[in-house]
Amino acid sequence: MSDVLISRWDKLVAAQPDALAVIDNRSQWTRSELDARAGEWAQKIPTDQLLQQAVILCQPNGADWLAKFLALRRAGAIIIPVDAATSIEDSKKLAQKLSCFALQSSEHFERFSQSRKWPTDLALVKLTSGTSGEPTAIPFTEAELCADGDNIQSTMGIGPSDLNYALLPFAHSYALGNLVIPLLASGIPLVVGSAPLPRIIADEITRSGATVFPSVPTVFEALTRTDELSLGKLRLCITAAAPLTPTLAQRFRNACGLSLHNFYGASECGGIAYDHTGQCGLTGNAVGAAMDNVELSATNDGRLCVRSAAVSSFEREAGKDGRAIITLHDKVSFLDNGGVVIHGRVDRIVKCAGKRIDLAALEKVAIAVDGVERAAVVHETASDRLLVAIIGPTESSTTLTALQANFGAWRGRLRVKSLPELPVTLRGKVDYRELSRLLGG
Amino acid sequence: MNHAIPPISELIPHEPPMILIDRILELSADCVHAETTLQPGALDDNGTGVSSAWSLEIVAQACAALIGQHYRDQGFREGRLIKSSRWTLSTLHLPTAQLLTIHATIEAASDMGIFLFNGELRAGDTCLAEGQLTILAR
Repeated sequence: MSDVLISRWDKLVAAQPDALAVIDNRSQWTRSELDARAGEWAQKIPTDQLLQQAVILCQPNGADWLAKFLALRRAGAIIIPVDAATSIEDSKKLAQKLSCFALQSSEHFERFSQSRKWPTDLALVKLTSGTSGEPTAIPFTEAELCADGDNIQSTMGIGPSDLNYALLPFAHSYALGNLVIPLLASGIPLVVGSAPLPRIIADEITRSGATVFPSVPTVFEALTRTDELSLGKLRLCITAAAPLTPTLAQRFRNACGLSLHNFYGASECGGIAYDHTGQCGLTGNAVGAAMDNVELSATNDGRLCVRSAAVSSFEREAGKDGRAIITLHDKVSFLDNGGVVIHGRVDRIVKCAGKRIDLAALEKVAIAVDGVERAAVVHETASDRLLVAIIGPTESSTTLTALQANFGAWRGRLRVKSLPELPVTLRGKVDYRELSRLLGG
Repeated sequence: MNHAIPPISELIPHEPPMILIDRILELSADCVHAETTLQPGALDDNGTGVSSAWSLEIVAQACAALIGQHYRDQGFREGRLIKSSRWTLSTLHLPTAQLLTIHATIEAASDMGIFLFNGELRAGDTCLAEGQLTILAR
């Protein structure tokens, strides 16, 4: 069993047992206390039967999530973290689909009758958000998880003197790379946020002295609406999972004086690009430049290729340099300064009225209309129509006119509706299935 | 980590020395990424390198590997390169003794077994050949 992550944690505990690890619900946990808690959990699970067995971890953020993670990994289990909001019924369905050994929830360790052994080196299986389809399971080794955490810390300049504010669900790829792995592999402590409410977030950040806050645009948007926003010692705000608009970047800077740093990643490979300057969000073109130790290129049809030690090597082979490569669905181009510009996804190109159209191109034109702050498009297959949702103080007819002028071949297929806000998933991404329902699809 | 990419020889009908790909790095349902190093004297190399026309065959073999891995269950066993469009060569000869990378993505696929690929062959940052290939699989 490859246990580079657990080895690094053990060394951190041995070196500084009394160092702060977690602040959870106003309780402080040192590294040794968290480790001891992991030992307590280990007493409650069949550690001798878990080697190479998959266990679903469905638990709210907190010290116990981390302690159970450590206990399961020490026993050689392959952890499949899922949202704490996932129902027990859905967790069981997933467990059956993936032939899991058990479900570890807040209350129980429930064992299933049929399970299978997974490959030796695996440590964790990430589930993609599934916003455009069924969630996909992506396995990782501890070495790959550590590589992502290390790349993130190095690129973003995060170190043990920092304190992460943890509002992102630990089960998400973004949180694993920015919160969980930096704690367990490098000792960067975290404070667990108690609720995604702007005033509570601001109070907890100030009170705890948190210095780094990785989150999503919708949370930062909510913070900008808070009167007299004060964020204490916070020095770095990272935004990912959904596009950052220049309007929000500017509004946030005006509200608290801090820049929002764009971060772009994918479950399959962890961090990809990062905006060191905090300027990319304001200009709205590039999402940032390649992360440290991550090599980016594009195929001749524009798809992004990522090569790094953090890419899941499951069903892939590492190249001669020991790094695996993955081709993503995102279409990109590169600026002279290395900035990565995203031009939508290949899987958002649909056939409508017998012709292929990129839904991202429609969104781009809609957003360029005066007053439109955000836009999202879905293709309704039954009626073969393009349904456009816009957010902002403008008439939908203005946007429709602009779209018809730019996409004449589809003018009869376009419908535009103004919504108060776009539906988002727990991960802060646009929920296209819900959007389709709202638009009447 | 354990992986599930079979050897190239299990994915295409060719036999050495006509297997022109050394290893496959990525083989998803819609893209393939592979590496090869052409040995001096291989194919038609007479000291100046391999004719760049071989780029078509090299990329086509990668495409065939993808079909062999992911579309075998649909009954497709073998394929023929029936068309190339906008196949652009930046050199007359492909270098030998140098790592070349092959990349191809599926642009479109039909149930009838027609696969349209965007493919390219590179030596480091230099694109040696690129364009579209149409493969008919049966």
